[in-house]
Amino acid sequence: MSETGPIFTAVSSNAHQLYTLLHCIGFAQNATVQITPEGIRFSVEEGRVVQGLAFLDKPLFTTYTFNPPTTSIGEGDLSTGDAESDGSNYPCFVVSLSALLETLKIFNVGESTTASASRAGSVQPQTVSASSAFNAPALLLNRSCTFHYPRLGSPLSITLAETGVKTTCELTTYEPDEGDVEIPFQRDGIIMKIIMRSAWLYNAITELGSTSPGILKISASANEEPFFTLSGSGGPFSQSSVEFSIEDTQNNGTQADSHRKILTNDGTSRSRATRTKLAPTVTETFLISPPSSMGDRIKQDYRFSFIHKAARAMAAANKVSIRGDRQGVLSLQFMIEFDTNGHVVTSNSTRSQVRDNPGSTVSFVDFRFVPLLDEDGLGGDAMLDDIG
Amino acid sequence: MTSLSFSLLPGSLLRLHEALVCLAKFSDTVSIEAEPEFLRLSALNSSKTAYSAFAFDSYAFFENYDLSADRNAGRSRSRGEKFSCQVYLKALLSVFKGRTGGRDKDTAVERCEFEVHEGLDETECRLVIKMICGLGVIRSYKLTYESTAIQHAIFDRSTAINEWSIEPKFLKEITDHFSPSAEQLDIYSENTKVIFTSFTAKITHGKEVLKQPVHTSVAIDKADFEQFMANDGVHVAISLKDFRAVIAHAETARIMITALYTRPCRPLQLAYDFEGIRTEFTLMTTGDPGPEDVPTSSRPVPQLSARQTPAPAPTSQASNSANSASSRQMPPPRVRPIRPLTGTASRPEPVEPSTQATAPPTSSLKFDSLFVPADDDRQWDVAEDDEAEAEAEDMLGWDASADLDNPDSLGPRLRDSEPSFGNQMDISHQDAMGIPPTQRMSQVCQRHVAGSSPLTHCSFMGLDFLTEDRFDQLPHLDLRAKGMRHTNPIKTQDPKTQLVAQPAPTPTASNPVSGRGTGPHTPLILPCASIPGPQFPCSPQPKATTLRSSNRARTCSLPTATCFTPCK
Repeated sequence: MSETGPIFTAVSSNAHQLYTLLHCIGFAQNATVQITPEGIRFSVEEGRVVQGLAFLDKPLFTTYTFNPPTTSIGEGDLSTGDAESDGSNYPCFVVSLSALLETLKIFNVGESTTASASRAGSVQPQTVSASSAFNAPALLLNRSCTFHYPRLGSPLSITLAETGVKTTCELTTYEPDEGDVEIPFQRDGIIMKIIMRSAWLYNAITELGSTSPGILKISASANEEPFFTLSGSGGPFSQSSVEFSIEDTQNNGTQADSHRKILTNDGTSRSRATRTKLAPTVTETFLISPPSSMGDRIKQDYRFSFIHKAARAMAAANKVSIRGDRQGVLSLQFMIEFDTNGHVVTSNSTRSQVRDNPGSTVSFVDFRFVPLLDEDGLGGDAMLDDIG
Repeated sequence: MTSLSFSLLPGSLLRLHEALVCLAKFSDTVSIEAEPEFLRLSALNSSKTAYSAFAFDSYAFFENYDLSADRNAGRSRSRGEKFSCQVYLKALLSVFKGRTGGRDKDTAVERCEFEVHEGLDETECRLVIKMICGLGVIRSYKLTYESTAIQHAIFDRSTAINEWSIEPKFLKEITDHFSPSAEQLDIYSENTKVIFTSFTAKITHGKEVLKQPVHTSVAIDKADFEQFMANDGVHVAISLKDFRAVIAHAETARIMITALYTRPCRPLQLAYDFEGIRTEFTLMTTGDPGPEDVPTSSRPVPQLSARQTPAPAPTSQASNSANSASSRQMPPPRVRPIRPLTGTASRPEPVEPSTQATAPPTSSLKFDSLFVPADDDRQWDVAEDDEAEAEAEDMLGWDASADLDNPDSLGPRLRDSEPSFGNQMDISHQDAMGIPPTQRMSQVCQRHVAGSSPLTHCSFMGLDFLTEDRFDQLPHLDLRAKGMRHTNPIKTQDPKTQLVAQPAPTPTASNPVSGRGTGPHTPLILPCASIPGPQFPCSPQPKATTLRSSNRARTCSLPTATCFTPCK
């Protein structure tokens, strides 16, 4: 065993941030954790068809110490470099995610319940900011959260301290499944990339969810209407769909323009003129390049219940990047912004505020979904092989 | 091929949503009928005691409205240009869920389009609803629907002799005082007051009290009504839940509500029109249907049972459905087919004469033998008899004109005859009236023997006292009335709360044997009498319900017809 001290220690002054991120992928019982020099990676999966990934970035912690285990490999000092380049030597284990989440919210029970209650009623996810005296930022200051992983095989201990009250929780770590493979997402084979406010997606999914569909169909086309459609089918009474189209500008003039300005304000700084391109009004980026085998339109089916597992992330995130690769694997990447107080910044908050706030940190939560195969089996076999 | 399409602006959409929310309180499904002049949404509840309909004017309410039938006329001509279907309400409501709120300004609904194409060659018939929202977001729904013959409650406004109109907020304030668990609402007028009494029948299971009877009476001045033209002392009892549903909707519209009715056990209609929407709610009433149908025999039993008969909506879902099912299966006795329960197109009016003709109590013996209770008291014979008569009366009950002719002539007789009941048998029947139906006849008898006096009016006496109390405080009532005019309900809450909502004194309510009231103005209709009827779906003692098993035949259900005659 190494005498260099614990493998991993990290202190965060804001457990709530960590909770928010991990809560997004909280659809499974257990999470596979991998500690890297850049941050902690939590991944969950279900049935090998949905995968959620939350990365707790180093900047989320005030201190972050990681000493890669050298002795375990038995190669002495040289292995350090290898481990870093390789990545496979970073400690990897499985913990109970639900227990971890329970631990993290141990001091903010009230907060989380109010947040979930408000979420039920509205899209607006926890604009917690100082809604009551007990939620005031000052109260959060003395709260710290320490992750501690002394050596391989030891439990992951989480210590939450709040003004004199200290809670330590030791989570048993398990060996990860051997066959724990990521859902392969072909970054070089991306045929669809859509970036939009996450709230739109969340609205659409909840809307579709009200008719309890079995299958979610995503349909996108670069040059013919409808450009981007999500539809649910297989529900008991009805079929529903949400279509993102180009807003009819004749109806509402100036008001619509102002919306648009706000939307495109960040990043691309797209002017009105480029809007003439065929892209839905709500999207910031809309790139569709279907492979020749698909024709003009990308159509892919997913199980609705799986997509719905990402709903928490949709609600919490500011923006979402929807990507699809050649094989139909869908990747939803959510950008979750925190302001300096650690509160989630959503697109519903005023945008200017976020801009001016240099202290805001950005985190990402990733979801990947394996498509349902259509009967034609278009590209389906290849994908099966890859997954298998 | 029939096709219907219409579109709505946000304001109308809100109204439509409100209407659907209201309809959802009556039934699981909504019937949609489109005619060139209007679109009607209607719902009839499962026990057929409450019917609500909203007719939206095709010009005033919709942005555009188009109903077209097939060109090659023939058949479609005979049908007229009409489309009708039934949709599961939950599915329809989920379309609107959250849409109407202003939670998301950017993607608020700007327009809503409905579309249906129905034809023989159409493989997929769907009700297509499109919500066109801001920022180019379009939500569309394809709902399945069912083509059915749609039943409407029949209500003849011309025969309604009692009518009143009032602002819904007054009614809202009244119902606010009622216990949430109260089930029935009795309405009657007396001198210058109109008295609304909510009540729940007591249900006991052995010694355990399942439901505590509570009466709450609220009196308001007739002056509070826009108009009040109803006969004093006519008690009609309706389901409070239905009444609340109507008021809740009327409040959103802030429109004068009008009630029309003839007499107890005949439908009552609440109606109001606004903004191109015509609404009507037809609710079955219970209460003493009046003595006019009672055969001339001097036996009191049928009369009393007639009071019990009002088995309102919740009454006997179980027994009701079972009975109605059985009545459909087996070739029913002659009297049955004409019962409006079956919802055949036959309208009650023409039927009535024949009903009277066939009324003689021949039928129900065989039928009811299934329900002979374990503790077959000697009264049972009479009860059976009584049942048969009650049935006959049931159907006769639809004849509104009869009682109008001479309601008074028979009324006093009933009252006068009561004190003369010497023998045990009669008394026990009286008793049965005042005690919840879940008790066994034998228990009833014992109980009655214990209490020496006929008890019929006891609980009613409680009410009488209440009203007297209220009269003491008349000045307050007037104050309140004025306050209401100033549309400041908050100010007016307090005085009213103090003075009007009074539960009936528990001794009288729980122990009906405790006193005998022979008040000079004992009304013909005993509110307490109509209490016991409704309760037995909850009854843990199915056997005990036998006495009232005849209630399945009760005309508590609304007369319905598939063809609708517009109410104006």
